[in-house]
Amino acid sequence: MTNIRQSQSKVDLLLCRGHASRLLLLCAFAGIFARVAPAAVLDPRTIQSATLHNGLRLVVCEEVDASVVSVEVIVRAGAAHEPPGQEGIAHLLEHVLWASGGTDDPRRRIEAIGGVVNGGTLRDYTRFYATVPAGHLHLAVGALADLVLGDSSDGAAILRESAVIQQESLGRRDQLRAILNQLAFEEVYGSDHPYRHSIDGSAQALATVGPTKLSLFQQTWYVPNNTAVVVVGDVDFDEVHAAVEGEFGHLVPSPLPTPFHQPLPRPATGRECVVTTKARDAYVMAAFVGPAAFERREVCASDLLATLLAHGPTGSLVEELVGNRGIATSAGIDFLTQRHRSLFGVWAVCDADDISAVKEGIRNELRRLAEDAIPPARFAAAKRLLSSGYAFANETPADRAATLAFYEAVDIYRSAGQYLPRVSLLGPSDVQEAASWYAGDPVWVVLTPKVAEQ
Amino acid sequence: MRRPSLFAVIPLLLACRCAFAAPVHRVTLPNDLRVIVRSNWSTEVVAIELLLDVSCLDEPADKNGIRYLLQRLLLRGSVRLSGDAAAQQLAAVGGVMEATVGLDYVEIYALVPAEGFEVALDLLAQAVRRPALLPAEVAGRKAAAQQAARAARDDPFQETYLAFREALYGDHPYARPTFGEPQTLAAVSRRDLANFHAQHYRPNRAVLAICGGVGERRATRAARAAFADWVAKTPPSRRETQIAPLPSSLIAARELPVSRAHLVLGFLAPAADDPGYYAMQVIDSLLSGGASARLPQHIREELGLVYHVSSFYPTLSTESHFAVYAATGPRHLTAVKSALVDALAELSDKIVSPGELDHAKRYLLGSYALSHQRMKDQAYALAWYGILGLESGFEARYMAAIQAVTAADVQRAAQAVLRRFVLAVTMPTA
Repeated sequence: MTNIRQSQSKVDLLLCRGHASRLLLLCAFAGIFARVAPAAVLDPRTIQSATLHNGLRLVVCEEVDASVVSVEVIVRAGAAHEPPGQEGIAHLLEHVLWASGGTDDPRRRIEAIGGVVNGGTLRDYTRFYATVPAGHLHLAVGALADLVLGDSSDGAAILRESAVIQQESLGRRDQLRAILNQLAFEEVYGSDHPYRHSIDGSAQALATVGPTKLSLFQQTWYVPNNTAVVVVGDVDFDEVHAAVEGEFGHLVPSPLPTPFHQPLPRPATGRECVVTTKARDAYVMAAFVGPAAFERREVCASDLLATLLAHGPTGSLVEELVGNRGIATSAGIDFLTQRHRSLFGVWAVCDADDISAVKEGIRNELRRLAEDAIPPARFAAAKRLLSSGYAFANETPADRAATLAFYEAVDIYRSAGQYLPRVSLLGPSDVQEAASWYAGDPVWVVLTPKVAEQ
Repeated sequence: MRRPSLFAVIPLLLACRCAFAAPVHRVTLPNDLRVIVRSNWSTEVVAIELLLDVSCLDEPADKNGIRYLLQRLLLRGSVRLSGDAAAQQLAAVGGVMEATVGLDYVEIYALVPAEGFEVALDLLAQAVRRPALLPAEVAGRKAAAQQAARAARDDPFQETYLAFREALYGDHPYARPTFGEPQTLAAVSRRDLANFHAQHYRPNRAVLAICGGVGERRATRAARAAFADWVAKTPPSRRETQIAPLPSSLIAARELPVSRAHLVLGFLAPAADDPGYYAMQVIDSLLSGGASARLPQHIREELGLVYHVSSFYPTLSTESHFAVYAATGPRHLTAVKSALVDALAELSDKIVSPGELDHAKRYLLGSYALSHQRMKDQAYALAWYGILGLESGFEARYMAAIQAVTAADVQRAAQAVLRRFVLAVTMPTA
């Protein structure tokens, strides 16, 4: 049964097949929550892992009461792995594989049993995932394997999906928060850092990508020793192992290219990037370099800092800019943990006349958290919110599979279960230390309405 | 490969304890507040959902948006607690709360870990029953609501959908934006808000649904404690406005400074209590139920004209609408429009094959179950069915009715519904 909200959810769900909506969803709905899991559910004792003979990683969470099985197949090849001049190829490959089903379309097989299937590209990895009724593990694993291992050499499909990506990119031009986020990446990361360019890439670069380049990218990165399968639901580990072995066991491992050069992001020095838009409002972001996934304590501290700043009405940044002073209509944090050091962006939407006041307000809030003692009750409440957020964002097997897959892609799946204990160990000084990282001069990224520039 | 039978999806529906198998406990308090509890011991999350049958029909036209503004004020303090104090108490138990508005209802909900359930329920009750409506808060929220109303009109989907509803519903309140308009919000005074609240926010117009890790006794005990002394009141008579059939097909055009053309093409469609409702649900699934449905297959994957295309069919208390939505580069607009018209016409002209019908029904039932795994979604559905008067056994009836839809039903429904249309288009500003 649909109603308008559920219909809109369907729109959102389909829009999420790409990458940016997922990213924005993670960031906007307290992105900090979406990649961590409730200890009670992702208890390490309930999770088993294995490495197949060809290097493929397998992570299984047995949940005997679950009525569904959720499967994620991730390949550690995203926008950050693209050769220069081929920006957007990872995303294009995901599209071509997604739509290359032919007469025995794997997506149709999943949907025919009432399941759902989707895919997406991020900077660090690409994912294909499905949720099906319990008892259909083999069908789901088989269908996803067919998608991931599909044919990427169909020239007509490449042209068609390039056109679809152009439509997708065109839509992104109207999403100002996404534009702000991408500009921040471009400003914070140096010209040679692979996180710099957008996941969509550019039309010019994609125009040079034909069957040969696309197949080469697939053959290079879509190898078993760079792939993981995560399964959550009413399954048995041995059964999953056999199913995955059956679908992926024949693949031959291949040496991966040397990891890409990872220069440190440029230091923030108070630079400012101002871009004029047709929008009515101004968008302001103070962009910093945050921790990488392997810097686990620092990630937790930054997440807690983000909670203190921007979680609902109790977040001090929201309270100050939106509630007390009324100089912004919304405010928040963009912080999606990545394999390498991530963007930590503090943003607000405001009138063009209030840009200076908003920038000062952001600086003041960060400085306050770095210098002033955090009241114990407020600190405890923030930890509580962060913890309950795990439960809310990891309520379903699909959520938990996504969380485990996320961690397996950017770090290791065990980090999901270790997250809450790490948060519980944080003290106010840890958050103050995190705030002090962000109390210096940021890179400012500002989108201004045309009228304000005149 | 052997095609799976429709019965293949039944295990999902029956075993899905989250949405279907768990029993539902219902009680009506002496003040006529309906309380629905569905316990689920596999989760520590509790969703508390209060829906009030306060519709856009209750809003004076010149104060359109009064419900939206009032909802925003519910979370800004009650007679007992300031907004900040309430937010801090909720945060201390790890809860979140939100208040929203739909065409047919107003909604306030909370998500909370089970140990904080009573605290969250009490805060929700205070917010909905006794909002403080402090003058400074009213002024602040009104300015914010006006800004949000303006921002919503900058959203190309919202703007196109509103243009569609305006053309489709004419004078009926469904034609208005739920978030109001800057000038109608400006006309709403604190007294208006207080009067509207006193008249409409009453237990005899509300359904409270609680789903998750609490038992029925605990949940109903807490509900009684929080709501038993909420006084019922006969609501003012609602100004019912008839929805006139379209005299002819209409086109509505808008412009916005955006990059793509946005298109909503749709029709008046049956309400949930109409026998044709289920066939239209199946049509919705045939057109855009999953990646292998007709619209994404043809317009996205064969023609490469769009990134996203879908149909939607909201369940409303009275005559609803069935529509398709797409966004595309301006030069593709004509081609997309033609493809959509052809896809809709085919439903009337050609009988759907048994295999495709079977697939659409299976996807519809399966995705229904999957979309009700979360406690919040279950609580919302139970409360909304309650407002519609459908709650008792609706899920089972829904499944049976979908399974019973035939190819002839689909064609008949298409021929009856997909006739005079409204096409709303928002074009990029030149």
